[in-house]
Amino acid sequence: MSPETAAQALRRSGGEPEAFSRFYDDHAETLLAYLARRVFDPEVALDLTAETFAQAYLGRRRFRGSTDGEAAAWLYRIASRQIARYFRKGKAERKALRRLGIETPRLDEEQRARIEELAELDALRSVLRVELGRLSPPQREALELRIVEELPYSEIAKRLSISEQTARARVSRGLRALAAVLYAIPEARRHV
Amino acid sequence: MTDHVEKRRRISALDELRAEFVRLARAESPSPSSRRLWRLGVVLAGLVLVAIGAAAAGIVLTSDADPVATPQEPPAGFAASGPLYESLPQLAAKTDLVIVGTVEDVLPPRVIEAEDPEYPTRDLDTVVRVDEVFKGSAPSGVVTVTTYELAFGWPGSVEWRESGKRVLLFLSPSRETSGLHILANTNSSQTAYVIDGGDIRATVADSLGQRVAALSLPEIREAVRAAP
Repeated sequence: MSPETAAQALRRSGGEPEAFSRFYDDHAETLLAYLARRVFDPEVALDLTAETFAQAYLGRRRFRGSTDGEAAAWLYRIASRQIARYFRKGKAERKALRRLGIETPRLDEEQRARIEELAELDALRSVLRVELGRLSPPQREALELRIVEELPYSEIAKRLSISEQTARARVSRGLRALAAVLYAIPEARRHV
Repeated sequence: MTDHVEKRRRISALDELRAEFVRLARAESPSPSSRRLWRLGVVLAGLVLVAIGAAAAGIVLTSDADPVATPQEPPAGFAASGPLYESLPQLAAKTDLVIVGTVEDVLPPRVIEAEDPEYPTRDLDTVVRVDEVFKGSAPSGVVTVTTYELAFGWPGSVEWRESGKRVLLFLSPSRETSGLHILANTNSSQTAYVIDGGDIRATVADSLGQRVAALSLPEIREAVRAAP
């Protein structure tokens, strides 16, 4: 008998919630890398990963596909909506996480570095250095401090004399403006 | 499975998150005995329903694995945001316009919702020159297909909205904007294919998409034209 696929596990998790972990195992790391490459922030990427899986858990009975491709497409559609919301609002949504009572784990420096390595953010940064010239000065400044210098938002806010929330908004707005470039980088699609 | 666990261990936050879902699942899971009873009940109820249905309508159940099987039913289910079809004729029957064409232009994104004006939701209008019509009509020889900007370009999907790409599209007229077309199901899967020489690639790799992509263009043309 062939091993259960992620799609089969997801379908089964409708009646047997424990099967959801099989689906999680198949996608968690890839999804985290995918999100990190879009938001350039391991913590935000982890928040988005957690909310995406929380929404998938709550909506798992609505999945009607049968192949792993369909299961992946379903999950990444949820993730894409989370990215769009993050770019709009400047912060990750936590609605499903709150409903399920899940706290997103905190990252230490080693874990942050591991996620950066997993998502190969260094390679993307060198491309972005060139593309940053397209942005408005406030967005460019915030993005440079965040992505090139890797400063925390509190430090960016201090340096630019703005609130931390404004710093987050400028970074997410800048990333949104660069989305076309990010999506066009072949390596960005490698984590499938 | 061992590989998955081995790789995942390298990021302990993902382990912690996994543990949260396992905890939730355990709290939600029925006990093994009640699960067995529940399954037995479902099986018995299903058998009764099948017997009643078959007796009343004389229905003969057939396999739906053939991509060119005759359509019998409406869309088989609903994915995240739209119907999924089980066969090519079923998809073709629900589609107004099926074309092979070449992307001539992708227009600048169009804002469709701006609750927050700085971060609007946007559509992309893709202008496609029609090379051949399998179903319906495209008198001007050009169709403009509007899609949600983020509908493609995620892992596992193939971007087709790029100038010069040859595409096979299953379309319906937009109900919102006269003159525009949309992909024939709203979750965008199954309805857009990239033609690369003799190869056809599904832009979203679901089961029907993969089966359609395995066919040749003449086979797809024949199946679409034979659909009601």
